[in-house]
Amino acid sequence: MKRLIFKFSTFLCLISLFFVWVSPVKAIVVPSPNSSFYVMDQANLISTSTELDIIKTSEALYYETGAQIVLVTLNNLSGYDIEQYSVQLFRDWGIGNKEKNNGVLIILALEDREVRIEVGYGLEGAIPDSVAGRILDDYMLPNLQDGEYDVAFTETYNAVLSRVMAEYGLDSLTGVESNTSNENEVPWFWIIIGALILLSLDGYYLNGFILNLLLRTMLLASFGGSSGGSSFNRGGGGRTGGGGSSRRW
Amino acid sequence: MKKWLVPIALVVVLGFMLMSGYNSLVVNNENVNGKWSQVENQLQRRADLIPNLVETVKGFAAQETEVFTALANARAALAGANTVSETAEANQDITSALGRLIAIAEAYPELKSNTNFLALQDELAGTENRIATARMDYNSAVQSYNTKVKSLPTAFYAGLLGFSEREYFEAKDGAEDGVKVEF
Repeated sequence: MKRLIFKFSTFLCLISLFFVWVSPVKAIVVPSPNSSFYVMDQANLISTSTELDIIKTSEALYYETGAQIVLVTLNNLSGYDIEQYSVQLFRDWGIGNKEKNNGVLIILALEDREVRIEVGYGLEGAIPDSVAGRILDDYMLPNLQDGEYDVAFTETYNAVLSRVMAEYGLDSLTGVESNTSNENEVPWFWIIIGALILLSLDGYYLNGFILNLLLRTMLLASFGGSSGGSSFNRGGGGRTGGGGSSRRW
Repeated sequence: MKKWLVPIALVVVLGFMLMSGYNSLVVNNENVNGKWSQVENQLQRRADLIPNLVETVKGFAAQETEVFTALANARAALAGANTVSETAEANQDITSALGRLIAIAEAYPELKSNTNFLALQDELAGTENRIATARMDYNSAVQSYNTKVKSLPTAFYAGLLGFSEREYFEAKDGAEDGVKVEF
């Protein structure tokens, strides 16, 4: 009898290996967002004051509408097309609200001399491709050609911002004084309760299979990084379908 | 009493495994269907753009009949496509034909600077990108699904339950990921 139970358990263990979740191979590796989320100035083109302004405005926009406008500068695209790179980064970071998909990514690659505005599903009416192209033509390109990066980004950002605000019928944004900790605490509490219930069930019925899976994912997620600073923002889980426009300069 | 317990337990466990395997196939299959809808959506979106684009170009370059014919043929092929691979090939042909149409503008400076044409160029590029993205999502969904269908233990019963491998959306050999429409 004991031998039978042993064989049966071994059989179950082997079978459980077949339930390993196979994830499709990710084609492009993109950087993780930093703690501010809204500006990642890898190519060091933006002045600190402009960066802070953009972050604060994006935060205010987020609190009022859930929309997220993100600005990223890169040194290069690691050989990828800017379109594919933008879609990957946009989705990885989850720009915009999950339900409304109202995110916009303004991305520039310095060495490749390419720039793109990637628009989430939900804002494609507010910023159709031709408008995105025009914004780049009117505000980004002329200033880039003059080497005026701060002006280029500020004007482009504002052009995008005004379109998004128009979409939501806003004339102005109320500033954000308090830090974001409140916004993030409530969801986490329930997640922890749920997790404890799940883990106890998992331990009782499934011999810790789910715990194993969780530990593996947590290990990967911990490299994404979170900072202890007062401004910790994150993506709302929005997606893009590839809408927007690109330019070279 | 104890003698019967083990085989019964075995049957129950296998039953649950079968059920979860089947459900997983259903979920993956529906995901593939959903992603395919999106591909068709974007193909339709481009189809809606084309008449306007053709009219604008004809306004300046009506004599370039060869390109217009090529485009019309490609559109007809797409309309008649039934399988995924037929759609993929027809899509490839339309992208090439559109690329040639846009290239015409190089020879006609008035067309090149026409604001309507410029706006349409952006819209077309955006739509081609959307098609590429939808295609990528579809292929990713097919990969997940096919992996499930072919993996053990689901492979044993997938065929019996009516689940078979699905086609990837692939361009012709030697054509890579579709012609990138550069302006």
